[in-house]
Amino acid sequence: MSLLELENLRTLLENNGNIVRAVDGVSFFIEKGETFALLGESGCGKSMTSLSILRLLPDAGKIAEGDVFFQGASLLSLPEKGMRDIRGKKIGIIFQEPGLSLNPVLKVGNQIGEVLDRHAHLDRAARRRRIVELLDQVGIPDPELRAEDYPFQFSGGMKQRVLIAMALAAQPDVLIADEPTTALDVTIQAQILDLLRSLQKKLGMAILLITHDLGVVSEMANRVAVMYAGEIVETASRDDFFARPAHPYSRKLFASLPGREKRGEMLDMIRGAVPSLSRKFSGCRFAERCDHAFDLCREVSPIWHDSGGSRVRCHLYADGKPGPIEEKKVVAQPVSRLDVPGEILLSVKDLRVHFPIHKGLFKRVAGHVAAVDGVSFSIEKGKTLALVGESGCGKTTLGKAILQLLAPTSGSVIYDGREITGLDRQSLKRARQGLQIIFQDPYASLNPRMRIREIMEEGMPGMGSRERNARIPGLLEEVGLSDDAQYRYPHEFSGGQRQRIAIARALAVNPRLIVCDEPTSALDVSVQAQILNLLKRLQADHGLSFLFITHNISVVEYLAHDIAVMYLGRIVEKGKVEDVLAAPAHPYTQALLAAVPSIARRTPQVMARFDLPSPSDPPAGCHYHLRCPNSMPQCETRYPESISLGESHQVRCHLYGKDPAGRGA
Amino acid sequence: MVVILWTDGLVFLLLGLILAFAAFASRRPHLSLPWRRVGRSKSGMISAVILLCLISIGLLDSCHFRTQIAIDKGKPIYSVEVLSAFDALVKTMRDHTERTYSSPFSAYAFSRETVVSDGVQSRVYPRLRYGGANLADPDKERIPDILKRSLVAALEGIGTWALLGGILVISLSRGKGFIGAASTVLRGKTEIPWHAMLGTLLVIFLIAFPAFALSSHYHVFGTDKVGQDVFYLALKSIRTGLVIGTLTTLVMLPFAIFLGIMAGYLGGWLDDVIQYLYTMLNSIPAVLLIAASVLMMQVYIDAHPALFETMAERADLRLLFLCMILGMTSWTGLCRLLRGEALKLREMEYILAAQAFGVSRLRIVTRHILPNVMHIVLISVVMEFSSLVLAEAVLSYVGVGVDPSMISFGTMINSARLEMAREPMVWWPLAAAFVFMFAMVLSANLFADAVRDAFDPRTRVASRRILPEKDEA
Repeated sequence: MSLLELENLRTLLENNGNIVRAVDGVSFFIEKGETFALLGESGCGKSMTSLSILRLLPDAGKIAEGDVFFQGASLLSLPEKGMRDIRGKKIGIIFQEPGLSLNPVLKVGNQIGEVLDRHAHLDRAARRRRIVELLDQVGIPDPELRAEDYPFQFSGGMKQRVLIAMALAAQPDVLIADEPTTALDVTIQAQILDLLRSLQKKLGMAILLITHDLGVVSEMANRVAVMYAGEIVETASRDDFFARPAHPYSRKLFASLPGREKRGEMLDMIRGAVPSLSRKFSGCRFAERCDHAFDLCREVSPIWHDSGGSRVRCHLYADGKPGPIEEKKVVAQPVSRLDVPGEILLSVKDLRVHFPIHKGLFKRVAGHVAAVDGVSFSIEKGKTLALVGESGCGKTTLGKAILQLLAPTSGSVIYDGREITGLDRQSLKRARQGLQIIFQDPYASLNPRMRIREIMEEGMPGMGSRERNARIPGLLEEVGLSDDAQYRYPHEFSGGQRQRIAIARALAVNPRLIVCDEPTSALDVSVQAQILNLLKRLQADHGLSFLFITHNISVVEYLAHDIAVMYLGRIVEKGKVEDVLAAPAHPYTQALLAAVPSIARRTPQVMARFDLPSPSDPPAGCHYHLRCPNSMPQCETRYPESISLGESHQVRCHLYGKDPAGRGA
Repeated sequence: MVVILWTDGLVFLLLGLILAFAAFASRRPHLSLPWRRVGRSKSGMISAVILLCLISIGLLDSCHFRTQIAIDKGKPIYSVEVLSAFDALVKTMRDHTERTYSSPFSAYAFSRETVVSDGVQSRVYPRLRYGGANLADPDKERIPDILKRSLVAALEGIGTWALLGGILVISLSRGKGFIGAASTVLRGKTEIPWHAMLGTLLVIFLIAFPAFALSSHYHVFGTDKVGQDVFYLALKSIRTGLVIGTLTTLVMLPFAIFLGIMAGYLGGWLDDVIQYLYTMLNSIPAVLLIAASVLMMQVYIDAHPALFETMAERADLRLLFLCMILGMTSWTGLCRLLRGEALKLREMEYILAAQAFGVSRLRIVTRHILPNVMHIVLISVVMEFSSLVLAEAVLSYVGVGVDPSMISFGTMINSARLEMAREPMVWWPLAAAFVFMFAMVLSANLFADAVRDAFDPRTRVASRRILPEKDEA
C-alpha cells in the first residue's frame, strides 16, 4: 500500500461557462520517504493536482472523477471536518510565493503555533519550545528571538524556511512542495533544496515536488512524472528518466535547455505553446507539437506502454517498439554576415545610480541606496554581454540607467562615441535612437489598450503611413508572427508571442544595442528556446549587440560572449564567457555557478551563506565577505581593487591581490 | 423662439459626447467588450430601461422655447415664460391649477371654504376647478370613471408595448422567422436579457399610460399649496436631478483626471502641490463651501437683473453654478484614486518602453495612461450620480440648493415638510417626491453596480485566446 495514491483524478474548473480540464485522469503513487517530482510547464495542471489532493480547490473547481487515497483511505469521501485533520497533520504544503503565504500582521512564532494548536495539544511552555525547535530545525539563526518577529523582518529565503517550519509543525507524512524555490535566487534555492533534503533524511517524510525545472528534479527526485496538458505522459525513476527520456515531449524538454555544450548551435525547440485546457482533445495531446506524430496520434489517445525502466503514453512504444528514433541533427547557428571588427559600441565608465532615502517630516535625505556603485564595462559591436547577479544587486537599475530611463548620479555612458548622460530631452531622443530595451514580463510590457500595430508605430514617429504599412509586416515576419497579428490586441497572444511582439517593437527603430532585461525568465523552457533562437538569429542578421541581464547561468553559457558578475551594485568579475565560466575566480561567481541545479551533477553545493545584504547598508570592506567562505581580515576593511587574471579576465577579490597569502584558493 | 439655456447646451453636449464615444467604441473590441458585459447583466439592463425613460423625460424637458404672443411693428414679442417641449406635451397638467391643496384623485378641495350660494353662507368642501370636473356626481361616478379610463389606457399601453416588442423581435430575427425569434426572446435565451427589459417596459407602460390618461381629468398625485399638480412637479424634478447628477461630473472630470494623472505620473513638487490642494479642499466642510458660494452667486444675480431676460435664465444660472460648486468639492476622491493608479502605471514596462522610444510626455499620458484609467473614471462617475441627486435634495432642503422657483425634488420636499404636521396630513407631495427619487436613485445604483462588475478588472478572470503560432523559419 502506497502512502499517497491518486487514481484517475479529474478536476474541472468552470470559467464563464467554459470547462477547463485542469487535471484529466492523473494517477500516481508516492511511497514512504521518497521524493516524487511532478514536472511540467506552466498551465499543465500541476498545482491543481496538489490542491485537489488537499481538497483546497478554488470555488470554481470541482473533482469530477477519481479518488485520492492516503494510507489506503479515500480522502475524497471524508467530511470536511475529517479533512482538516489530514491537512497539516498528515499532508503539509508549501507554496511558491513565500511573501504571500505568511500573514503580515502576525508574529511568525504565532503562525507556527496556530498549526500546533490545531494538531498537537501542548501546554504553553512545550508549545514555545516546539516553535523554537522548529525554527532551529529549518536553519533560522537565533530562533528564540526570531519567533517574535513579523514576516516583513525576514528575507524571501528566510520566509520560505518559516513556511517549511509551519508545514513540518505537525510532522506530516507527506510534504507537498509547489514550486518551492521558483521565486528565490539560485544561491537561496540551493540552500532551501539542501534543507529539504536534510529534513527528509531526518524525518523520513515523503515529498511531492512540483516544479518546472529539470535541474531541481535531477537534484531532488527519486521518481519523476512528466505532466503535459492535464495528463501524465511519462513516469520513470530519476536515473532512467535522465539517462533515457522516453516521451518525445520529455526529450524535447531536454533538447531545448540552453547550455555550454550547445554554444554555436540553434536550440532544439518545441513548436507552438502548451494548448489551452478548455478545448477538447482527440488523440495524443502532444501530437500537434510532436515531430514524430503520425495519423494514429491525432485520432487515438495513447495508453501506457513500458519502455526500459519507464512507463510512457506514446504510440511509438506500442507492442515493444523502440520509440522515436531521433536523427541527431545539429543546426549550426547562423554566422553573422556583417563583418564586425572588435569595435566598441557602448562603454560605461564608473556609472553610479544612488537613490536617496528620505526620512522625517521634511523628507530630509537620510542616506543613499547605492543601487549601481561605480560600474565600468564595454560592449563590442555584434557581441553579447551577459550581466549576471541575484535579484536586488542592481542589474535592472543599471540597464535603465544606460538607456537614461533613470538619471545616473555620476559616471559616463558613451554610445557610439557620444556621451549620452546629462543630455536634454531633445538631443537625448536623437542620441538614444539606436538603444532599445526588452523587458522581463511580456504581460506588463505591452499596453493592453493598444493594437499591435499602434504599439509598433510608437517607435516610428518620423515615418509616413505608407512607410509604416510596408515596415510592420516585415518586422512581424522577422519575429515569426503572421501579418494579421497587427490588428489584434495584446491579450489575444500567449506569453512567448507577446515577447516576440516586444522584440519586434524594439526592432522598429533599427537599434544597434538592445538591453534584454531577463527576457526569458517569465517563459517556459520550450518557449525560452524559441526566443533565444530568435535573438541569436537577429544578432547574426543585423549585427546587434545585446546587454543580456539575467540570473540564469545556462542561458549565459549558451548565448553570451562576455560576462560581468554583479554583486550589490558592483561588478566583481568580468571577462570572456569561456574564461570566467571555466575558471571562476571570485568566490561569489563560484558560489553562483555551484548553486545552479544541474542535470549532470547529482549533489549540489551550497557555497554562499546567508542572504543578500541590503544595498542601503552594505557591509564594510568587500561587500561579499560576510557570505564568503574564504574571508580574510583585509576583506572586512578594504574593497578590493580590480585585478587582471588574463587578457580580458578581471576580478575584484583580495585572494588574487599582491598579498600572496590568498593565492590558489 | 428656441431658447438654449446654459444647462440645456451642456446636457446636449454631454449627450453628443456619449453618442460619439459609443460610435468610437463600437469599432474597438476592447472598449465595447465591457459594455457588452453590462448588456448581459439582468439587473443592469432593467435599471437601464427605467433610467432611459427618466432620461427621455429629462431631455424633452431640456428643449426650451418661448411662445410668440404678438407682433409689434414687424418685431415679434415673446412671452416672458420659458416653456419646454415637455411642458407642451403635458399642457393640461400644467394648466390645471387649483386654488390650493387637494388629495390624489379627489374631486373636492382639501379644506372647507365659505361658499355663498343663493344668499346662504355655508362652509363646504368646494368642487375642484379641474379635478373630476367632468363628473356630475363625483361620489358615485368617480371610481367607475377612474377604472374605465385606466383600463382603456392600460390596453393602449399593452398595444404600444406589443408593437415595440414586435419591432424588436423582427430586428432580432434575421432569417430565423418571427415565431422562433419571439420564443428565444421570451424564454430569455438571448445574450442581452431582452425578456427582462421587455417585462420592465410593460410594467412602466401599465403605470405610465393610465397615469397620463387620468392626469387630464384628475390630479394623480394631488395638488400642492398653490394648487399646482404634484405629478407635474415630480416629472419636472427629474430634469433637475439629472442635470445635477451629470453636469457636476462634467465639471469634476477635467479636474480629477488632469490633476490626478499629473500628480501620479509627473510626481515631484507638482505631486506635493496637488496633494496639498485636495487634502485642503477635503478638510473644508463641503456644505459650508457650497452655502457660501451659492449665496455669493445669488447676490451677484440679484445685483445684475439686467443680464437675465427671464426668470428661467436666472434659475438656470444658479443651477449651473450649483453644479460647478458641487463639482469643485467632489473631484478630490476620484483625483486621489487616479493619482494612485497613475503611480502604479508609471512603473509599468510599456510606459518605460515608450519612454525609451522618446515618446513625448503628453503622448504617454494621453495614449498610455488615460485609456488605462478610464475604467476607474467610468465606475466612479456612475457611482457618483446617485449621491449627487441626493445631495441636491439635501442642499435645497437646507436652502442653498437650486433657485426656489426651480422645480426640484429638494424644493418639493422643502415645501412639503411643514404640511406633514397638518391634521389630516398632507402626505402626497412628499410621497411623490420620494417615489420618483427612489426610482431614479435605485436604478442608477443598480446600473452602477452592473457597470462596476463589468469594468473592474478584479472581478473578472481574463480569458485568453491563443493564436496558432507560426513556425520559426
